[in-house]
Amino acid sequence: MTFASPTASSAPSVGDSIVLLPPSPSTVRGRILVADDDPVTRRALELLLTEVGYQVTSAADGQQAQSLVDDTISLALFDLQMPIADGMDCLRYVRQRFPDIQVMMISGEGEIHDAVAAMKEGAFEFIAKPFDKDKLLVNVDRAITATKLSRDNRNLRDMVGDSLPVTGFSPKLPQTKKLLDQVGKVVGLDSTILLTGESGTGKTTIARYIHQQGPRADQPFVSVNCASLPRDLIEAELFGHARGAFTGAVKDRPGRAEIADGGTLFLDEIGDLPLELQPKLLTFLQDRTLQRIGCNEMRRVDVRVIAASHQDLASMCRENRFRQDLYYRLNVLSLRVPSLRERTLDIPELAQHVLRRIQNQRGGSPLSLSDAARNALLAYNWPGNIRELENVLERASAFCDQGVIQPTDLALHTSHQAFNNIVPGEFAPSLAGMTLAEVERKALIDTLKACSGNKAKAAREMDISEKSIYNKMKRYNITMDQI
Amino acid sequence: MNEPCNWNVVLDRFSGRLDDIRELLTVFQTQMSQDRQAMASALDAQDADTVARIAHRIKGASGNFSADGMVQLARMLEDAAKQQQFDQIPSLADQLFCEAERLIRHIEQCALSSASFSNN
Repeated sequence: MTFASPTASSAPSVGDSIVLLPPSPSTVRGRILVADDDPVTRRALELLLTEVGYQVTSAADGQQAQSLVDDTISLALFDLQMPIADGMDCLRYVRQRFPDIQVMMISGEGEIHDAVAAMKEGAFEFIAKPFDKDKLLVNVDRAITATKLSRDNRNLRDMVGDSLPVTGFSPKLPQTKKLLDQVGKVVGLDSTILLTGESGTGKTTIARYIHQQGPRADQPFVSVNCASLPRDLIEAELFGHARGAFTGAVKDRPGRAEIADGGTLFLDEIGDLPLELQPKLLTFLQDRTLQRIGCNEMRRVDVRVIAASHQDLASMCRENRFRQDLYYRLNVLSLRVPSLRERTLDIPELAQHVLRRIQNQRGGSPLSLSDAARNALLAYNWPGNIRELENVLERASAFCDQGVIQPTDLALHTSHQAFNNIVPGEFAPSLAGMTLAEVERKALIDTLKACSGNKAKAAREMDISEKSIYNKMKRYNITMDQI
Repeated sequence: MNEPCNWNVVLDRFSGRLDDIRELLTVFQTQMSQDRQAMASALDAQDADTVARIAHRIKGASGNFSADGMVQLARMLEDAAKQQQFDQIPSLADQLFCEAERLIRHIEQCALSSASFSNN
């Protein structure tokens, strides 16, 4: 069956002049993430919200939306029905990883029941299509205020009630003192910093701490995870684009580097930055100028750059997988964040800290560890580092009786069974002698096996993007026959 | 015949910004073009799920222009697709895209009139 074709519209052209523009204004009412697979509704929301002073980031599906959520977002608007991951998936993702960010659901006709279910799962409000403009703007304003209050509240709690100045790191912890001494020496400098260390060791926490303690603390801290963004979106996300630069670029949009102007740009998992984009980042690091895609104008931004990687960038340079000149430009000040295995003396206090935080969030009676559980934590190998410790304790605190955690509640044998082949009753077979790459390869194969070859599920288990799974399978030459 | 949308509501929603309305109409036009092709393929393949999904999206999109007639047609098409009523689906789809073209022409005309009114 065919229908008559409508009139096509032409994309706007881009001028040829090269002009150095001043930084874009960084004072906006808040940054809102809009996710809807209908481009008309998406654009209508963009127009309504930008008109009253909000900055809007848009996504066409749930997976893209999840990759765009970070701490610069003040409110997320999710359509209930979206491809790949729907609105409820996105809501759960944000509630779990960014609990301060308020989420509003966009519901279509006949979806009120689902919208109410979303409210029960923690959505701030739902707005029904077609929007009542005034009602929408009032709710958006309320939600952004709620996000701000929640963030302020958390910061105050951290300052007043928390004995650890950085979550997971404290000078009181003997094996962390050296790292914090080094951090203390670089916070006041403006040099680029490269943070290295295994996944889950707290590199992002350290990066944020450096920003918060430095002279740029009142300016934005903008994070870009080079591993979680699709390859063809990274450049636009990092450097922005001009209207008409590509299909779907319906307006000019600044990249994260511009949004970070005055503050800190944190480039996480820098080892996953595509080779073809590395020269552009090198230029940016050299002279702090950038060019939006489809635009000849050069823009100057003033940012401090912190990069992080769990990969050995020097080895990647030798294998021509990472540019050497970029590596030297990033590696001005290098800090290695130790694994939890190297900080076993810190584990008891770290565990107490995590338990206090869980207790503050949930309320109820105090949580504690039995002696046997404490010994089990000390004996375990912690391939997932602090992130794994937090997950293990959160799960244990849900299942323990009368607030006392026993070894069986920790379920360490299932925590990373796929990772290191732990059998029930044993805690930590050694991975000594294996290179990090070999460990990662083994972890990937075992996790894929445990997930019956389901890459999306494996990605969730390993807390990385599905794209990273594909990249790592290619890098380590893993085929599905091996799974 | 009723007007395909309530122009005053559209104007109010976008605070009278005709450029924004025109831009949104361009997005709508492009999307309708893609939906037309996708709908035709879905009808050829008797793929009721895809028909329902497209109709659902069009229902939401046309709501932005307060196009009650089009919303109603999209709703009927979505319901027919969910109930696999293939005897009704092609005719409803045809009516829906005709209504979309009528809506586009109407908004273009209204925007022109409003622009000349404000210039005078």
